[in-house]
Amino acid sequence: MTKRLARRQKAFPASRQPRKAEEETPHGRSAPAALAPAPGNLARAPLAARDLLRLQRQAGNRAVSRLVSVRSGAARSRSPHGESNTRQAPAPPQSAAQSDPILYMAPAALVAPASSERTTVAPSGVHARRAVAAGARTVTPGAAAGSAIQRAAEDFGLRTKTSTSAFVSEAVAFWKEAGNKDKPLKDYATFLMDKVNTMLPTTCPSTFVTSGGDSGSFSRVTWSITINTTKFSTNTATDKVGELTADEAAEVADTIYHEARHSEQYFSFAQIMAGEGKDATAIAAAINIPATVAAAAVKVPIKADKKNKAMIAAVKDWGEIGAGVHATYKGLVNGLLDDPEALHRELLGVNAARLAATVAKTGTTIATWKSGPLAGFKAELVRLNQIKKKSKGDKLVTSHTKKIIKLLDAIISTWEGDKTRSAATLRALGKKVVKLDKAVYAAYRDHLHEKDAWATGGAAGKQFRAAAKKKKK
Amino acid sequence: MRDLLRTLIAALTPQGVTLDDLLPGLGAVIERYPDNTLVRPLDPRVSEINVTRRYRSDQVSHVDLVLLEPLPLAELESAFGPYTVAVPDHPGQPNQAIFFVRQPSQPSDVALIATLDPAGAKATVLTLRPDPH
Repeated sequence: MTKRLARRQKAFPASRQPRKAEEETPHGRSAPAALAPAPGNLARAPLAARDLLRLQRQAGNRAVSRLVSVRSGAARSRSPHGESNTRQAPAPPQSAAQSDPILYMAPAALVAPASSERTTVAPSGVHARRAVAAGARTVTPGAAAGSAIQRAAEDFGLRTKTSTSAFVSEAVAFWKEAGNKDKPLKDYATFLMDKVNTMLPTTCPSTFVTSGGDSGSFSRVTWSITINTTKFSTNTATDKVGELTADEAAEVADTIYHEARHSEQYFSFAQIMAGEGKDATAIAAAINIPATVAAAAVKVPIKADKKNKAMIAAVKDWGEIGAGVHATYKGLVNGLLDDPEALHRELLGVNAARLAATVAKTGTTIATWKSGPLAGFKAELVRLNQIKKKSKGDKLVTSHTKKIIKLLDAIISTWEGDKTRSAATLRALGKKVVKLDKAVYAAYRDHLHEKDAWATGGAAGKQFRAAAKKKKK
Repeated sequence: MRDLLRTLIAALTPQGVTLDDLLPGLGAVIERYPDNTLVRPLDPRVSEINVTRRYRSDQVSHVDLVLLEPLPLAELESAFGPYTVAVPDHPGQPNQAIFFVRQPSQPSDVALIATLDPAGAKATVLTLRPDPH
């Protein structure tokens, strides 16, 4: 979640440095009436996993979600500083409804508000736009799964093109509106939170803070999105909406949409648990969500049927790694993201002058890995081997766990068998640590709930950037 | 710290507690946001208080206490019993220990959430979340 945009450019090796994105401040221009839902992507050379991880650490998840979806293409945008950039030409404008065949196929089937939080159920095939316009809370997982037209199991709620386009069009309009240029950044964030809250199955408050490394972060424990507006821009003087560049404004929209998607993921998971017969107390305790949210989910359970089988499987996989049986594994992977990189840099850069220090650091790090992560992953593997019928998520977790254990074992064995501790043997060890680093990063990229949130927020950011370039007709 | 936490837990157990109900015991308002309010604490052991309300509501969602000095987890465990650990979603975010403080005779239980230091031994932030029955 960390957004350290100032260092984003440095995250790339020179040979793969992305072209500097051209940015345009909004004022003096107004929002277009209709926005294209499928803009182009920045043209960038392929990124290695290592580059992506570094970028993610330095620039945040939102930046990565945008980059991992990079394909190709080129079009122009304009910078307030007169710089130019090459981007892909946007796709021809298409309405959100046209892009979403379910909207044409499905009847509206809203159930009356079921709780004080205005949660309503759309058992299948809901017209999302109409529901939002009516101020209703729609629980849309069943909508996607129950449609006559098949689409991805995770394509519901905020991830639908309809929701994304609706959110983005209002976000861009707010950012471009001349009357908003002198408003504080919190007004932009609040506007986005209000918009996304009209789309969520249960509401989520914002908590503004003035310190902390993240621009935005959802907590299922407090069911809130913490927002730090000082992280919205690389320019520390930026404190007004009109001072945000297009890229920065898009990044904020991406972040809030991504974080809101996490709340939707957990709520859907709670609904499925409710559909399986668990009560609110059990759900709250199992996935560490507030009792109020669990109670809201129990009022709108999702029960398995033939139509929603794939959706339920996807949501369960998100829930299990987010807060369920694979949460410990998630913590092990996340906790091991940094150390291997630091160690292989040390090992591969070793020379005579640094030999003693490198040996000491390596010994300390490997001892920590042996007693901590390795033991943890081995315990996880024992647990995983007991799962008889593995889901997609179970299989991914098992595969990554085995790979990481194998690499950790190899590193420890090599280290403990190395009696010379020379620069050459340390460099050889460094190559094994590089493999571990890549394996851990690959495991992180396969956290299925994050993958879904990256895709959801990334689509919003991408649309924002495309729409921000359009001039008033 | 135990005394402060007990006082706050008692204050959060009635139904529909609002910011105004809590403020006299917490401190002075520094800044108000749409859903949360930063408070300069009266208690010298706390450097900052952040009260978040439910979305567009007066009712308190949770109260964050940023501690001046980290508090040993063992101390909380001895006061509030066993806890569960919540693993965060994103790298770099700290684990949280959750104590469920049951208040059967009150309208709400309270979850005490300790945000842990990297070693997992001390709490740096304590969050109190009322959980209505």
